[in-house]
Amino acid sequence: MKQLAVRGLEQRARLDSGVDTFDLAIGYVNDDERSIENLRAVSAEMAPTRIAYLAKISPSDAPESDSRFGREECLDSLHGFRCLEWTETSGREVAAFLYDAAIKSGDSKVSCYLDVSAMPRSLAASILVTLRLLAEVNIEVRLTLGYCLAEYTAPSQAAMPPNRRVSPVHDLLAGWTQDPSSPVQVLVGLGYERGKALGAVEYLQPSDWRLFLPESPEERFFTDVQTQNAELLEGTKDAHKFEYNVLDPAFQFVTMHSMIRAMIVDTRPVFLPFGPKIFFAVCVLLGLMFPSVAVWHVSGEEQAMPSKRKPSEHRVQFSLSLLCVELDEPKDDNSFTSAIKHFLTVSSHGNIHSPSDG
Amino acid sequence: MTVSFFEAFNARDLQPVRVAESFVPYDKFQALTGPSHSLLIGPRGSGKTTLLKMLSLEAMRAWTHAKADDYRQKLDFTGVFVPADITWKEMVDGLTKRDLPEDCRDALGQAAFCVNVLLALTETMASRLGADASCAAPTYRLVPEPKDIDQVIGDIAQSWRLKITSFSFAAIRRALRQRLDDLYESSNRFQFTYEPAGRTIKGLYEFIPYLSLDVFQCVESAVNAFDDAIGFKNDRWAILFDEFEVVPLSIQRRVLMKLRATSRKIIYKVALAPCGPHTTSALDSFARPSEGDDVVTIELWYRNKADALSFCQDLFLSKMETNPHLRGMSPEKVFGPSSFSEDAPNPGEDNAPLLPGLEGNEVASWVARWLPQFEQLATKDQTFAKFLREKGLNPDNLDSSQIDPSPSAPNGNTIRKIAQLVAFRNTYRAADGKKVGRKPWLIPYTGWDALAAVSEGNPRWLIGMLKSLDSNMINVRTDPIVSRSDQSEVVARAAMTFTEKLKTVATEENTGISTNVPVFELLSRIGEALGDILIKGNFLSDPPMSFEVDSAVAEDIVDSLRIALNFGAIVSDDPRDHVAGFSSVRGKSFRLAYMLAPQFNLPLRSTGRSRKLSSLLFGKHRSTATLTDEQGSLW
Repeated sequence: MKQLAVRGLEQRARLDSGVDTFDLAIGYVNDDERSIENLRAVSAEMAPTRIAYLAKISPSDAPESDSRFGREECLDSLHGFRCLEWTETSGREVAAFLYDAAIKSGDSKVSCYLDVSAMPRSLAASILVTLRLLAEVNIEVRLTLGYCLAEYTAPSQAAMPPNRRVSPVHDLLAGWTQDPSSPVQVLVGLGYERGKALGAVEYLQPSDWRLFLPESPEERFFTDVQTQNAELLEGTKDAHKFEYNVLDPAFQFVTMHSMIRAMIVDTRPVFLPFGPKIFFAVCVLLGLMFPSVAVWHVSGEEQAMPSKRKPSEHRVQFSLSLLCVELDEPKDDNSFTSAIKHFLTVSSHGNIHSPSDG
Repeated sequence: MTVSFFEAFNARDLQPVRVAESFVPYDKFQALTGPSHSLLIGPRGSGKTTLLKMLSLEAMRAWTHAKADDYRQKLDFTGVFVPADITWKEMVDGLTKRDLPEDCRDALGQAAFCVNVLLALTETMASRLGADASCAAPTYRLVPEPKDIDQVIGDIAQSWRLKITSFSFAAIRRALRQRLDDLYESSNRFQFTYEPAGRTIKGLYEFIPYLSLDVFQCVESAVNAFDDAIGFKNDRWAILFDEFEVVPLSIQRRVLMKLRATSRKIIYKVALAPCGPHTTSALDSFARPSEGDDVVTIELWYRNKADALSFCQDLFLSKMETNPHLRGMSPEKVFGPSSFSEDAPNPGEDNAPLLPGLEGNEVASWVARWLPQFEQLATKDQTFAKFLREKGLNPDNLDSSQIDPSPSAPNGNTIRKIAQLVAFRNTYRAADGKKVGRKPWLIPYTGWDALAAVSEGNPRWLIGMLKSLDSNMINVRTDPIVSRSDQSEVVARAAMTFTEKLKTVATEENTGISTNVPVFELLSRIGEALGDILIKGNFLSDPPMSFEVDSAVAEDIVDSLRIALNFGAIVSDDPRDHVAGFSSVRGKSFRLAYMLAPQFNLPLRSTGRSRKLSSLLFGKHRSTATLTDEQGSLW
C-alpha cells in the first residue's frame, strides 16, 4: 500500500452554509439528542446526499420504549436524511458512492462530512478505512470530522459491564511491524468508564504507556476522568500524562503525529482511545497513516455509556485532505491499486443515492 | 501502586542482557536446562518469559551470577528465543479476517510465524560468530567465522527463498523484514483482488509463493548448514517459544506433535498458559504429547505455600542486593514472622509440626496471645461453645491449661489447628451470627511467610510488593524493620490492584477462551460464600477453603474459571490432567489465590476441604434443571 498523507488542516466551530459543500454527509443517530446536533446544520444545499446510520434497536425494546422513542424523535428532526441500518456491506457502499462521485467530478476529488459525536467506534473506524482505500486509488478525499461535546452527565453508578473483547478496532488497524520483538507502547485516551483503560492496558502488558486526559469547557468531565482512572494515573509517570483540549483535534493530530513518528523507530505503538470520539477519530487517522501503529478498542464499551446525552453549545469541525504518496519508486505493477479499483467498481452503492440522482 | 505495581518486572520487553543482570537460578530453571523438549506452564507473571530468555545465547553470555559458569558448562544447546505477544497475534489475525477460508488463514498465519522464527534464528546465528566483549562470557558458544560463510548464507537464503543483496546475516535479516511487509501487502492485495468465492488456497499459493515454506524445514536446513560450516555437526539448538498460546493453532498442533519425537539436533521449549486452545479438545489426541514422551513439564505455580517459600527467599535476597538499607538482610528480619507462623501445618503440606516442642515460656506467650480470641468467640458463638464442650473444654471458663497448644496436651493439635480460624471468626462475627462490617483485618497477611504466601511464588507479584516499599517504611532500628502496619498497606494495595484488574478482564477471546460470566464477579461470589461458611455458619474446625468444579455448573462458569486460572486468580489443588496444562477444570478442586484473601477476609491456609461449586454458588439440594435455569439468568 502507498503512504497516506494529509494536508490542508483546518478547524472551526461551525459549518458555514455559504462555503462548506460535501459530496456525502454521514452521521449516526441514536436516542441521544447530541447525535443530531451537528447533522441538523448540514443542509441539502451543503450536501445533496446525507445518510443517517441508525442505532440498532434491541428486539427487547418495546415500541414505546425510551430508546426507540428517543431515536424516532431524533430522526423526525432530521429532514432529508436517508436513514439506513449499518450492515457489513455499508462501508463498501460508501466507498463505491464516493468513488463514483470522484470519477464523475473529473478531478478525482471528493468531500465527505462525518459526524462522529455519537458514532460507535467500530463504525467510525470502518468509514475512515473506506476513505483511506479511496486515497489508495489516487482520489483525494476532503474529510471534515464533526464533533459536538455533550453536556456533563455523571458516570453511571451501576456496575460496569466487563470488558468483552480487547482487540483492534478494524483488521486494517491491527498494526504491522517489521520487528515483532520490539516493545509495545500504548497511548491511552482516558474516558470516564471506570477501570476500562486499566483492564485494557493490563491485557496488553506494554513496556510503557502514555495517558491522554481530555479537557473541555465541561470541566466536571475532567474531574470524573481522573477519579475513574485513579489507579492507572497513580501508576503512571508524570512525564507520560498529557492533557489535551477535546475541541482542538488539529492540535491533537499534529502533536500525536510527531510523537508517533518518534515512537515507531523502535517500538510498536498501540492506541487505546477511550473517551471523546473525536480523539478516537484522530487516532484512527494516525493509524491509517502509520501502518505499524495499531488502534484497539474494547467491545461492549458502548453499552456502558449513559444514553440521552444532551448536546452542549461546544462543537468543532476538523477538516483535512487525505491522499496517497509514493515514498519509494513506483512499483512495476500497480496491481494493488487495480485490485482496489476493481473492488470499488464492482460494488454497488445500494441504498445510497448515486451522485446523479440529485 | 497500580499498573506499575504489577508491571514492576515484566521480562517480555527487556533485552536478554537486562534479564540476566538480576536473574537468580532456582529449581524450575534447573529443570528447564536439560537437553530435552520442555513445556513451561504458568499463569501471568509466573516468570515464563524470564526463564526462557535466560536460555538464549545473549542472556547466557551476559549472566554474572556465581552459578552462571556452571550453567554455561552444562547447557548443551544454543537457545533461540522467539518472541510473541497478544499484539503480534492480533496483527497476524488482522491479515486473515476478511472472509478467507480456514486453510488460507492458516497459511498466512504460519507464514508470519515462520518469518518471526527465522528472524530470531538469524540473530542467534549471527551472535555465534561475533562476541560482545563487554559480556561476562563473551566467548561462550563463540565460533570463528567459517571460510565459506558466503556459501552458507547463500544456501540459507536460497532455502528460505530470500533475495539478498550481500552475503551477510544482516542482509538475511533485512530480507526477512521485507518479507513481512510483502506478506502484509500481498495478503491485502489478494483479498481485494478476489471475491470471497475465488479465494482459494491454490490461488493464494500462486499469489504468495513463499507461503508453502515449512518453518520446521527452514530451521532444520539452516542449522544444518551452519553447523556443518562451523564444524560442529552434532551441536544442538533449542527453539524457545514464548507465549505459545497466541501462535496459530495449526502451529501449536505441529509443535506439540514434535515434542513426541526425540531429537538430537533441535529441541523445543515452550511457554504456555495453563488453559487455552492448546489444552482443549480442539487438539486431537494425536497432537498431545504424553508424559511418557521425551518432554519435561515444568509448572510455575505452587499448590502449597511452603513450596514457594524458598524461591521467594532467594528472590528477596537477589532484589535487595541493590537496596542500600536491606542488602544482606534476611526477609524474616525485615518483615518478622507471620502472626500465625505457630499455627498447625496445613493438611497436605509439610507434615512436620511447626511446634515440635514449645518450651514453657513460648507456650505461655502463645496462650496469652490466643486465649482472648477463644474466650470472646465462645461468648458470642454458641456453635463454637458446643464444639469446645465436645472436646471436653469449658467454654464458660477457658484458661491457659485448656488451650495449651503443646503436642503433648490433650487438645494441643486441635487448638493449634483452629487458632487462626477462631481469630478470623471472632474478628468478623457479630453476636447475632451476622458478619461484622469492619475494616479488613490485615495483620494475618503480614510477616515474611505470609507475604510470600500472598505472592504465590509469582515473581511479578512479589517484586511488585517489594518495590512498593517506600524508603520511609524502612527503619533498621525496629523489629521488624518494616512495621506490621506498613506491611498491611503493601498487601492491601497489592490485593486491591489485583482485584481492579480482575474486574476488567476481557471475557471474549481471552487466550482463546470466551464466556458470558465476568471473572471477578464469579470469584467474588465464591470468596463471599467461603467467607460466609467460615464466619456465619456453624463452627467447623476444617471449613472448606477450596471448591470443586462439579458437573452441575454451567460451561460459561467453567470457562470463566479457565481465564481466572490463566491470570493466577485461582490455584489448583489437583494435578493438571494434560501434559500441556488443564484440558478441563471440571472435576478438579481449586482455591482462590492468596492474593485475593484480603479482599474476602479469608485466612492464608488450606484445610484440605472443598465444597462443590454449584452448592457454593446456588445453595445445596438443587436439581440440575433448576441450576441450569438459574445459571442462565445469573450473569
